[in-house]
Amino acid sequence: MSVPQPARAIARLIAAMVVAAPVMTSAYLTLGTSANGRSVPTRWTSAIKYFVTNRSVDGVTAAQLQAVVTQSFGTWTAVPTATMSATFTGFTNAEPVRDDGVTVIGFQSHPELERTLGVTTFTLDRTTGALVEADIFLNSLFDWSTAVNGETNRFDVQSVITHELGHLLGLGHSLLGETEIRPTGGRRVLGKSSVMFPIAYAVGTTQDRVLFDDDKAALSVTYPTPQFLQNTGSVSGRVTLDGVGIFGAHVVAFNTKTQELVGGFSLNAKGEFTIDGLTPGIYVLRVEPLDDADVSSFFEGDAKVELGFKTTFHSKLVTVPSGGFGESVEIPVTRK
Amino acid sequence: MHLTVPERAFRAILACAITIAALLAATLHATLSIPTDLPDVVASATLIVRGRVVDTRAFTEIANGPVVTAVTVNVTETLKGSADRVATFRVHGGALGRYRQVVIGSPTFAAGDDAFLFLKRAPDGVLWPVGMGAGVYKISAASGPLVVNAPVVAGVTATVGAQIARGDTRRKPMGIGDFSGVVKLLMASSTGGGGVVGGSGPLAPGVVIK
Repeated sequence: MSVPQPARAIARLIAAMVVAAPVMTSAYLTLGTSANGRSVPTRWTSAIKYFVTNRSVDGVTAAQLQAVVTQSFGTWTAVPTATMSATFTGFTNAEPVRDDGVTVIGFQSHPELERTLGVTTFTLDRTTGALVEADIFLNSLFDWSTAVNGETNRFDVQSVITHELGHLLGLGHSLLGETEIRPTGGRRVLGKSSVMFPIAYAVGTTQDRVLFDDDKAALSVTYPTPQFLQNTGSVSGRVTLDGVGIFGAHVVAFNTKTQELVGGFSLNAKGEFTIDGLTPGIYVLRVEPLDDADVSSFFEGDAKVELGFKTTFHSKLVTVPSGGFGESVEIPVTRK
Repeated sequence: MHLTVPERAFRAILACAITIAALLAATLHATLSIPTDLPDVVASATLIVRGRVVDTRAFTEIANGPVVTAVTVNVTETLKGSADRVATFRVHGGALGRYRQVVIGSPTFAAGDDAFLFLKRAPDGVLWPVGMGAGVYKISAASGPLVVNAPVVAGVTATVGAQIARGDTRRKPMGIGDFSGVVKLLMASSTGGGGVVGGSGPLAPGVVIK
């Protein structure tokens, strides 16, 4: 099936370049933009209809890619506390990342992105903040596999597509993952508590096919069912350094009973944070700097992310009630 | 409700949970690697410069094609490779008229930005940052002297063979002279085949999902 070619690109090219408010990864693991002075979440307001590029690569046919995309979408849409849907519309000769007004997923070669497995792009209307289209490409520079149990020396399509679909659904990156430096050099992932952690497992692994509590909470906050809002709670507060709020502090909530881990960030100059979608219960809060990652992978542009503080545990346990906020907390951190 | 408990107990609970997860993962996946530490970026870059952005220009090369932004910098220091006084590289995404194409993970620039840039030529000769944002270290003067976010460098700001701990006091914002020194040290190390400062092993290639 072919994709219609609207005239939007022409209008785009001839229109004057206007400086608009920046898009930023904001508001608790989810993507959003600022338009005309207001914050607009990057989310779908109707069912997602997507095409798959009719291109095979070594080891993976277009049909296999489509089957995996459908399966991965199913992983996200199966979250019982979220309500959204996606429908495969057909194969297309159109490429991902084209200004065609439709969502296309496919393989594409990007030698300039020699370390990037997959990319999600959004086209946003700068005047309204509206999501016009989103696309995903997997970099055919790499070797891929759709084998059920993975394949040695090939990256798992389903793992990477699950991550990229999280972006397509409006989720940003999560910092719930740990890495180490190998004795021979280079880093490796030790473990993750979110498929939205931006660093990949190695070839042959399939571990990123399954969602974690953090992913489910983020999706459910973005597309909540009524029951989700009633049955979960939130924690909020401020992170301060020398008495002043700080931006970009990573706040982790750990449920002492269920061991649920959900993360968020302080997202303004007052250091205020909110983590929604928590199972009611008692939580430990930990605050840590984003000092081991690529900041631009989490926050865009000129965001002044504070990195110069020590990891700190809140001095008290926090109770999260059902259907609302517990007591607001203030977490002072100390300078490195 | 707040319950006061010793911080040691918090640490034990959370450390236990995280350690279990990490051990399981390590057992199942023993040879994982990623490239976002500075040694790998330094080794991969063909051109390392400090520059101040003087122009950004978004465009498409083909009708309805992907938006890229050409970023032009005045080069103030060259650490690796050969550069003219002005260098131009590209990043994915950008704004054209009413619409903006956002590429998750791609760095953005504005005129006046001062940064260390780790660039590599694609087969078509165009320069791009290594590893998207991993090849960009912006210089800030927000709190006084010019500083750069401290990179993760084994043996300098992180421990080899140990989990990289967030909040590690070794990763304080660095002065630009110190940062340049680390880069030069890594260049010297990488020419000897080491990915770790003072080490001798080969660099591990890897990838990042953006």
